[in-house]
Formats: sequence, structure tokens, C-alpha cells
Amino acid sequence: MATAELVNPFREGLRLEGATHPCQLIIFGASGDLTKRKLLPAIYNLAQAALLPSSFAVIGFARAQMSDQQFRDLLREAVAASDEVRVRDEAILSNLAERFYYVSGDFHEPASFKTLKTHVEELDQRYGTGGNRIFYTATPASLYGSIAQQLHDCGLTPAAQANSFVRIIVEKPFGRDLASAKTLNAELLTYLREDQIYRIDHYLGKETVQNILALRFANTIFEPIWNRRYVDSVQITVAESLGIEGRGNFYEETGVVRDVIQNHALQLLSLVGMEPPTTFDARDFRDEKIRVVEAIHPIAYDQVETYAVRGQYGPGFVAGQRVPGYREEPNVARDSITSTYAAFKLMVDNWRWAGVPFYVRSGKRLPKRVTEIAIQFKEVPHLPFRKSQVEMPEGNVLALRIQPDEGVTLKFGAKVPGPIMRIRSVAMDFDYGATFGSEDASPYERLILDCMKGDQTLFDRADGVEAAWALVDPVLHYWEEHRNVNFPNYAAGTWGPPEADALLARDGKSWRRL
Amino acid sequence: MTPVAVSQVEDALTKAWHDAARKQDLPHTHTCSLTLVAWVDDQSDGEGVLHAVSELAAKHPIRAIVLSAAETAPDDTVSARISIGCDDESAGAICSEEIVLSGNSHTPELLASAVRGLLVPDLPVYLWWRSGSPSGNVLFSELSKLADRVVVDSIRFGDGAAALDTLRRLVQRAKPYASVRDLNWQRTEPWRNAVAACFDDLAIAAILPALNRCSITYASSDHSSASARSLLMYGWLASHHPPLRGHVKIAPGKHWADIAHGRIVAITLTSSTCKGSVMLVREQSPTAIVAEAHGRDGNALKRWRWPALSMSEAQLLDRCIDALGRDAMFELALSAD
Repeated sequence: MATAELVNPFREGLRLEGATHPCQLIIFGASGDLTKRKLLPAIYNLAQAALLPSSFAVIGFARAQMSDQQFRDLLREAVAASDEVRVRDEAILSNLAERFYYVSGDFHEPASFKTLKTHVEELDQRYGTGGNRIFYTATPASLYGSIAQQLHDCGLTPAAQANSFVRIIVEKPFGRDLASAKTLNAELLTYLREDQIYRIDHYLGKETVQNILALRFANTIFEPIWNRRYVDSVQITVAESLGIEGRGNFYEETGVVRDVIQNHALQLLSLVGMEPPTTFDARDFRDEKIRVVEAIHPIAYDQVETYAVRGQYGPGFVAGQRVPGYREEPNVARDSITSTYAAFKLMVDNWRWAGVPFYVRSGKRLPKRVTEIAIQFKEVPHLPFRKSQVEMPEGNVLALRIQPDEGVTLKFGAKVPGPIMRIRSVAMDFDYGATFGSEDASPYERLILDCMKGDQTLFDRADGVEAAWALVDPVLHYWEEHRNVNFPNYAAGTWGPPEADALLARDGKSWRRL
Repeated sequence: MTPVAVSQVEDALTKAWHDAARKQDLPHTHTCSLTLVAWVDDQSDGEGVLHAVSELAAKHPIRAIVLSAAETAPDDTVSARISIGCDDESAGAICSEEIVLSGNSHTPELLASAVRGLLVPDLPVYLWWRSGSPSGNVLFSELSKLADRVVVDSIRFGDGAAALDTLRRLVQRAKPYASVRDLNWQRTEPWRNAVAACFDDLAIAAILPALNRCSITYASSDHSSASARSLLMYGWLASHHPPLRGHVKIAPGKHWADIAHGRIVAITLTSSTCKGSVMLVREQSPTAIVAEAHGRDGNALKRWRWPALSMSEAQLLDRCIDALGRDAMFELALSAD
């Protein structure tokens, strides 16, 4: 990979070691919601933490007409409105805003990209960014291919150069099925190398998601029992209490499998199920992560009803409020069969996990917002308290809470004080916030910074994205072709349809009460 | 704070947690990440230390043991006071314990023995020695045996080259059991970041090999010897860029007399072979470090400005606690000639 080789001995050992190379960040879709809510606050936070390179500039590109000054005002508005901004410092904000520029143009129009190129080259000279460029596609996925082609055609993604880098950050959804993901990968790889493409899933930028890796691979007590001999099953829950929040058009096209299961939920599964990588460099880490997804037993078209459940919420009550059903939301068809809930039973066909079911569920308008991974351990093989008529205690559970109340809980049996032997499950709790405070960097900060450093570890690779689509594709096709479904089949504010409970009941299990 | 016998401190803390949990309907659990033992030499500084400790305790769940001694205190006992607190009252808040121990300054063994029984098991112990040079001090000798990390402030060692000698001896003696951190070294961090940031720029990095002269100006109201901070800064510069070794000028800046003594106010890197240079100057109101780089031909290349706010003692201490392991850069800077 061609990366600028800076000789800066003074960086060694500083808290900000590994600070980034000089570069320009070019945001496509700069007037959009993602840019305002996430990207601009993240860039400001990086500046505030002195993590941006001293030679740095941002160019916003979008169809909307805007002056440089208006784009700078947008930065200020975004920083003022964001609850992810920790410290507001006018001097830093002014300094950053001075380096913001805007180009209005059409994503399919070569002339727009020529204008962009002129700006990029001019700012390269002005700020000494050394030809280093990061393109961020905060646009609909349908534009990714066109953007890559236009960048290539106008010469903004030159072939490998010894002293500079060109990278592109691509937002999810990365395709809407296996075929479109393959097409998109092929389009991008026509103009860029895989090591230039950073497919972002912000879930991997979350501190608590990365803590799964620390828990597994920085402790000796868990790994020996992290396998089929001791683990009974794994439950992964990504629950939202919110509905679709006015995004009817988007959600009608997407649904819960494309929105959450194919990416976030499978990311969590792969982190829990992966083998220890030799190192945490991008290749080793992603190799192991992808291997787990590839090892998941494919769900054949005719087995979908055995391994997957779909649901859609009807009217109900959430947190003391009456809420409408999905089909009553704006921009949603009255007879929509889009799934707002899905549950899967997945089997990982490898030595470590053979026979251990991974139950994955995600839904909208569930009783609470919670994301967690629960490792359910097997029951004790023999209980030596027969004379005391002790009931068989429940198996141990290690629950990794991702959000909210990030932390880890271990459930185990303890003797209830008294003359007779009674055992009750108790929880030992580690609370992330109570130990480390809650000033976590937002996932976007971490991931933009990683891209600047050229670290792809926490980004998706083409084969990883395709493996995830390959897994859910038969389910999506089956559901699209079997449209006769009893939607809505769960009331808002409940934990999903009865079929989801039946999915586990068939195995003699039940979902955790969260 | 509640007075309590030293032998009853653990029980009293447990009771305090239970009472607080009952009152606020919280679980009877709390997290602790380390024990901080703080020695206050100057009784009049007590409030300041407690304030710094409280600030720190709001960020890390700690057990803080603050020690003070007076000649007039009874020489056969140590008195204790305790308190617990959370940064807010919600579940998941950061909660800490504070224990204040007071004893007689002529019986340091008593204070040390009290501390020994109050360390949280199996967690790191940080000793914050907020005092002058610890050489020959019995209490320091006893407490440092318990500590995984010793935090000092070389500005309290009399400043200047002698302070650095004391630091070097401390570091040598502490190895390999404990690491030593210096708040005064921590104060150079904005300057180190600024210098490093200048050379992130490819054009400026290109002139670095030619830069072989260095001058550091520090604030001073007199012509006393070079401040410890400026010497540490030189040590850092020279250990990262060897051509600067032996080519440094450290001088007081008379016109900076209104700033606290010892503070770095300017750093200039120049060349004996060309006109290339990088100059960094501290500016007041708002406090900032302004840098300017000139190319080999003397032409201005670039100008930067970074905020350089002073950090409170608690913030400096927080940095020392946050960083893991030894501070190799500090030890390198100390060992530079």
C-alpha cells in the first residue's frame, strides 16, 4: 500500500502517538443528515482532542447549493446541536471552520468532479496535505459506484503513489442482497484496491463492542470455557423501543434484516464466536471474524421457517405511551409486509461451536432499548445436595451489555443464608460507566481516525460483507416470495411475536427476560 | 467527614456504603480501580489536596488515603476520618472513598502502618508525594515500598538541575518495582504535542535533519539556574533528535516575569547550515502556542496556533494515573545529557 512515510521522531511515545498523516477529508453528501448528526461532531471532537493532523482540510460535496461560509455555519450548528460533543471550545471551532470548504455538484456529472479536483489540488498546496485524500460517501448506496468511477475518471484516485494515499469510506447499507453487494464490490474494485476501501459499520467503533475482544482475549478465565463443552447457547439481542421515526420510505425498502441483522448482529456474533487472531492487525483480525460467519450453517430456502421468524409491530404501548402500528406510520404501505422484527437460530459448524445454537433477535418497538450478548452456560452435571432437596440451579450466564448501561454481568448460584441448603441465582455486575466514566469517543470519531491512520481492522472487507449477505439472502428471498403473512403479529411494547418464543421453545429454551 | 478509629475504618466504610445504598435504593456494590495515597507536607495545603483528590475521585472509582502530620499531634496514635461519595446519585455513577489519616511527624512508622492495612487488596497503589525531595525521608521510604507508581512534582524539589538529579535517583531506585511520574514533566505535554505536530507536515519534516541548534526560554524573575521543566524539555528534544545534543541554550526570559517561574515560554530550533527554523512561542490571552516554520532559504513556510491551557494539579495527576506502565519518554528525557 502506498502510504506517506513521515519521519517525525517527536511523535514517538506521545499520548497522541500514531497521530494522523496530513490529509483532506472530502465528504459526499455533505448537506445530509448523517453529515450533520454524526460526521461533523466527530470531526470537531477529533480537533478538540488534538487528534487531527495539523495539515488538514475538509471539502463538503453535495447537490445542494452552499457557500464555504454556509458549510462552516453548518459545522457550528452541528456542534451546537450534538449531544456527542463533550467540550465546546470556540477557538478550536474557529480554527477548524477556517479549513472547511464546499463544492456544489452532481454525483453523475464529470464537470462537477473536475471542479472538485481543482479545489482538492488547490487545498493540497495551501495546507500541505501531500496528496493524501479520504473520500467519505455519506450518500445513498446507489451512488457509491458512480462516485468511485467519477473520482477515477477525473484523476482524483491516481494509481499507487509512493508518497500519498487515497482512501474511501463507504457507509452501510452495503448492498441490499448478495447480488447487489457483489456488484457494488466489483464496481469499487474496478477503480480502487481493497486496501483503499473502508466499509464502515459504526457498531465496530463502539467501545463496548471492542470490549468483547478485551474480555475474551485479555483474560485467561473465559477462553477455556468459551466452547461447546461449557456453553449451552448464545443469545444476541439488538432491541429498539423506538419505531421508524419518520423514515418510512427507507424502512419499507430495508426492514430489520438488512438494517440490523445482516450487519450489526452478525458483527456481534462474529466477535463472540471468532477464534483468537494471531495479531490484531487488519488481516488477521478480519480473517478470523469472517471465518465464523462463513462457518454458520446456511439456512436453505426450504428451512427458513425452522430457523427464522419474522414480525411486524401493531399498535401498542411503549414506556407508558400509546404508539401506532408500523402500517400506520407515515410513508408505509397499509398492507406492508416489511419485517420490523426478526429472530434467527444459527448454528456455527466448527469444532468450537458445533451443537451450540446462537439465537439472534432484533426488532423495533420492543419494550426497551437494549443490546446484549448472553452466554448461557450448561447446567452442572451433578448436584451433590440431594438430601437437602435443592432444585437444580440455573446455568451460569455471562451477559455482555453493549447498550445502554454498558457492562458485564455474571450470574451464578449462591447459598441463601440459613440452616438449609437453598441456592439462588445472584448477579455480579461490572458497570463500564462506574469504572471508566462515560466520556467515550463516538464510534465515528474512532473509525474516521482509524481510516486516517490507515488501520482497516474495524472495517468490513468485501468477502465479509458477501458472507453475511449469503447467509441472510435465502431468508429474504423466502419472505419476499411468501407474502401471505399474519402481520402485524406483535403489539408494540412486547418482546416480539409468539413464533419467536416457539423458535426457542422447540429447543427447550426461552429468551432472556431483559 | 466522619471521625473513626483506624482499626474501624473498613467497617465504617462498609456501613457507609450500605447506608447510602439503602437511602438511595442502590445495590450494595461499588467499583474500585486503585488506591491513591497522598502525602500532604504543608498543613495549610490540606484543603487544596482534598480538592484535587475529590476532583480525581469523580473521574476514577478510587480509595484515596490522604496523610498529614503535625509536630503537635499525639505521637502514639493516628486519627482517621472517612467519607464516601458519588459524582452523582444515579446508578452507574463513579463512587469513591476518602480516608484522611493524621499523625505525628516524628512517628512516620505509625502513619505507614495505618496505610498498609487500608490498601484495597490486589489493586494498584499510587503514591502522590506532594512534598519536597523525599531523599532520606522515612515515611517516603515506607510508603514507596507499597506503591506501584510514585507521583512527584519536581517543581517542589527546588527546581533546576538539582531537582532533576533527585528525579533520576528516584527513578533508579524505584526500578523495577515501581514507576515514577513527575507532574512537572506532565506540564510539558502541550509543548511536546506542539513540536510533534509541526513535524507532521511533510515540508517541515523535510528540514528537520538540518535543525541542529535549540534554544529554550523559560519564565523567570531572576537569573536563577535553568528550570527543571526547560531541562526536561531539552532532554526530550535531544533524545528524539540527537543532532541537538550539546547544542542547546536554555535562558530565562526577563519579559515573562509575570508568568509563573519555570514555565517554558519559547522554543526555537535552528540550523547551523541553512536558514531553516521552527519557532514556538507562548502567547497570553487566550493562552496558546504559536508556531512558525521557515524553509532552508528562510522563507516562511507555515504558521500554526494551538490552545495551551494550563492543567490543574488534579488534571495532571489524572494524566499520571491514566497512562499505563513506565513512561519511557520521561526516563529518556531524564537521562539525556
